[in-house]
Amino acid sequence: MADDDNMSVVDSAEEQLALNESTFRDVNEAIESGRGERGGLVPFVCECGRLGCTDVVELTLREYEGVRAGSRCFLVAPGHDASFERVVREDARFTVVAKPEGPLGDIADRTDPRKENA
Amino acid sequence: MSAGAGVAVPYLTIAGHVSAADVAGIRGRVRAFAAERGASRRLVAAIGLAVGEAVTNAVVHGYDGAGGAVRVEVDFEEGEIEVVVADGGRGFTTAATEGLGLGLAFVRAGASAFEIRDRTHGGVEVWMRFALDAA
Repeated sequence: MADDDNMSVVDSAEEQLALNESTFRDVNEAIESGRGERGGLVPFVCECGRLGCTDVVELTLREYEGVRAGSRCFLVAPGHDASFERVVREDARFTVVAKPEGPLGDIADRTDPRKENA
Repeated sequence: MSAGAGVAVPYLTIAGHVSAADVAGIRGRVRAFAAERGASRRLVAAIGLAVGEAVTNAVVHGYDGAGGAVRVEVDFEEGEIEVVVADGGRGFTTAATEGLGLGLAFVRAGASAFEIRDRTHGGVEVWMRFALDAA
């Protein structure tokens, strides 16, 4: 076996969770891009990635764009930040969290659709 | 429900009052359309899953489970299958109910591109595109 001391190992469940989060981010991007009315609160799905989470959070499109300014930032319902290391913003309606540096953050970067289209 | 098939650009239209009992039938017809266009088994499955979820969302979230007017349009052009599922329900609003995100995640997982659009006169339109050479 090669020396793996320098390799970062990610638990597969954590990786799967990170991929789930990215999938829900894609769903929200589809909601945002298809929104005809630009004003008011817009319902987005919670991006916490946990199996069974069906929460919907409301943001203005301006607030949503603020979340998407960072590749590693995700939008979750209040109280759904347990799997994230850093809370970026807490609001009564939603919470913005960030993935950490390392493999999980790399997944968030790699799957960011705005980077893909850049 | 009504259906049609064109010549220049192959297409399929399914429209009418749709309830939960109709979802499997619609999914099957769209799957058959995709298979006839040369989609791989894997892509046919992905399209069927995505369409089933989109129609279910319309029935469950657009019409609170009671069902209502749904239109499914499918066409094939330049190696891509495009599907639009439109309803005239309450729209994607703050009253969204449980399961909405998960259904849309299934749509996202299979489609090469998709968008969730507000309809001018109410309801939601889920637009999906599937590339035949992607799977």
